[in-house]
Amino acid sequence: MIKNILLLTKISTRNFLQNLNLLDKNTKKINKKSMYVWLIVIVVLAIAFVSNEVLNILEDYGQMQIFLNVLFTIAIIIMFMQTITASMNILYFSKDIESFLPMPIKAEELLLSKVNTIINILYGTELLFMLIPLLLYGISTTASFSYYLYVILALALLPIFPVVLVSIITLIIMKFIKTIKNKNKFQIFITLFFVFLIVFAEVLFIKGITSTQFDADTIGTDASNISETINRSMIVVNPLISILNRDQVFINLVKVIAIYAVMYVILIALGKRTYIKNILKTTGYNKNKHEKKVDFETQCNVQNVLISYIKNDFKNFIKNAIFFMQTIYPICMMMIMFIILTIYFKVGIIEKNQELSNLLGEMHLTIEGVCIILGIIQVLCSMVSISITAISRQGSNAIFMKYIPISLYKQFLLKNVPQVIINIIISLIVLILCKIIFPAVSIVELILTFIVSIILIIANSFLMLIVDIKRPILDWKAEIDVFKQNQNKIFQYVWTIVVVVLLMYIKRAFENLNIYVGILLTFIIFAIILCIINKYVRKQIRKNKLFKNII
Amino acid sequence: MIEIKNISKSYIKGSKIIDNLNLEIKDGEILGFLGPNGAGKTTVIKMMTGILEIDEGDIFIDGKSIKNEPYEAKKKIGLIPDSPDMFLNLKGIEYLNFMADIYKVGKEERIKAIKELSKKFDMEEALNEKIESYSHGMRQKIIIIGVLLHQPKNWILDEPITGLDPKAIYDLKTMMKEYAKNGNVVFFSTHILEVAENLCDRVAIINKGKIVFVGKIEELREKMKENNSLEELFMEIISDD
Repeated sequence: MIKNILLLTKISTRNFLQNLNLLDKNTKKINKKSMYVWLIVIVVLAIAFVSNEVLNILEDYGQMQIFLNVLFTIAIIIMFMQTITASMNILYFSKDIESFLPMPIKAEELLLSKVNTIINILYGTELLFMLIPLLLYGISTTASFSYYLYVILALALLPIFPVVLVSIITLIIMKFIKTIKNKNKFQIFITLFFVFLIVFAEVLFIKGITSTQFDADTIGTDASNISETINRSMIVVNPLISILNRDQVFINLVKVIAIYAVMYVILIALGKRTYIKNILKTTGYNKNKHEKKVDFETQCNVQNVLISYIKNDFKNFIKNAIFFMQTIYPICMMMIMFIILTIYFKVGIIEKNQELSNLLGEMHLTIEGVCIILGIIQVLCSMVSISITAISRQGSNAIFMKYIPISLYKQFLLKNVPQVIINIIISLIVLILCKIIFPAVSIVELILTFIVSIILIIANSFLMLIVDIKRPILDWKAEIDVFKQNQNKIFQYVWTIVVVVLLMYIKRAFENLNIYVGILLTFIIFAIILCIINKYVRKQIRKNKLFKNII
Repeated sequence: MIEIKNISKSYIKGSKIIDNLNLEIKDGEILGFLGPNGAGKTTVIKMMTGILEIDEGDIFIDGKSIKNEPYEAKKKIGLIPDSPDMFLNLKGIEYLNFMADIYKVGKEERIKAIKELSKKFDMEEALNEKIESYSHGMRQKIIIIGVLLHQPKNWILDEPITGLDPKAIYDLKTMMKEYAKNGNVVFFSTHILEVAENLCDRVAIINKGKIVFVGKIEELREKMKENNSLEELFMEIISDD
């Protein structure tokens, strides 16, 4: 049994890693041409820098113990998000499942191999986000050698919790579902269900935290309070932190192993009975032939060609679960978190602290504030992957663009509409949250900032679409390849860095100007950038260069 | 009418994949475009439909240059691509509606066309299902219906027979004949020589980017001076080259 599980795990994990192109196929050495390699290097360096800064600050305040709590909280939330996104796809809808079904593989073997695959993916996340901070923490606290051994142990054990828990919940949900008529709608439903669970849990945490009184002195430790509350509910996190603090190592280790043993027993017992049956519900999803007849009068309405085109583009990522998860799901989650945190901050901290409430209530918008808001909007918009995959998502059908009687420039503009609309919504939410926290900020200033943000959003979308048109991934077999094989995302990060640097410069250059003049000049700068990009697009289309890779 | 005038194309500098190709397809004519794999059939079709840039020469669709007046030229084309895996997330009816919007087909006209064509291709029951649940042949049929909604003057089909069942092949062949009879151009590439033999007014054989024969099957036989099957003639002509 174990041999089969290991073999199946190896196949699935290798498939995942190969798509990242981290190793050169010929030399088996690190592939320096892979943008993922450079992305990893950049992320690791950034995390190392931020961790070092945070550790220095905490050291000054003598609050080093907060670091592990907050790090594990962030890590476990990221892992839950990642597991929720990946679990349905890997457990039930991965392409290899139909190949495994005719083979003499037991349900629990297949299930455990799939669970292992998700755990392996999370190990990658850990290496990226947790290893360096934990090592830096060890150095800062001059930890002994045993600490580093416990780091390996904690990292090995942590991802098992979210993966096995989400898998158990998924198995239970699937048990009560008779057939899956539409796998895309089903995946989106399950994901939203988990999101709802997380939001519900967060609301409970906030309620619990805000019901206690705060005073000015406790504000600094609020982060630790939230972390401890979350970590306590994630029953294995606190024991793992205790192990790293070398506090009752043996007892805590036994506790974690016992919890995992129970979880695995439940998983295997459920899996034995239901996993294969559940898979069969999904593989038969397209055999349903009882669709109702077409009502031509209502279903065949004439629409303006441009609206029809945009609607079709929207359907492309909303009706497909993978595209939905990869393009707008992360930002949906982020915005939910933002809203919850703002409400928590407003209700739980500001309203209970008169001094802070007065301070924030008197704050007005400055050009520095405008730049910070625009920076936040740019960072959030960079999480939306609609334009950067607009062509790649079409796959080999992208050539459709070239033979329909709509000019390529017009199609270029239309392809930007979905991302621009989503990002405008994000911008609106950010500005509304600003108004909630800083009630004295003038509506006119916020509206002007919103107008500048629209220019920034359009420029961002134009650039990302240009990248995808020039470097499309058209030859894919599974939808997930559009994102796994896609290294264009790095351009999004680079552009975001450029915008942030530019905003820092604008802040410095315009800080002594009147706020309205400052916003106007910022608007002019971004409008000029947008005009240059637009001119480039027109020129490239005229010379038949922009779309030449779509064949 | 489609006029292909002196077109050339190369992906690598100095190596022409299409070399000074000329061809004319008259209104009311069915022309079969034959050639071995890699001969350049799909490249020519892609250039005809504006998917691929033409290095030298030009292609005129009813007098409109695909190079200089692409918008006008594309309105007169209906293309059936070689892969029917398109818009898989849409329901059949949604796809047809989308195509009708793109080619500006009015409501009454589109309903009539969808009803007629879906009946002809036995697709009425499947219109409210997602295209991803269709078989290969059904996907091919929905693409054909979508293209015929706007009644293009020039119907271009890249390997249209692949994946169709015998009834659908028969229906498609009948439709192609009717379409040409009404004064339209039908241009299609195929590997199936019998289809070309039964259906085409003329055939054009391409090999290594050059047209090696254009004319009626009888002319081909005449040229080879042997009473062989089309398959044997085809093999002979491409090996001669």
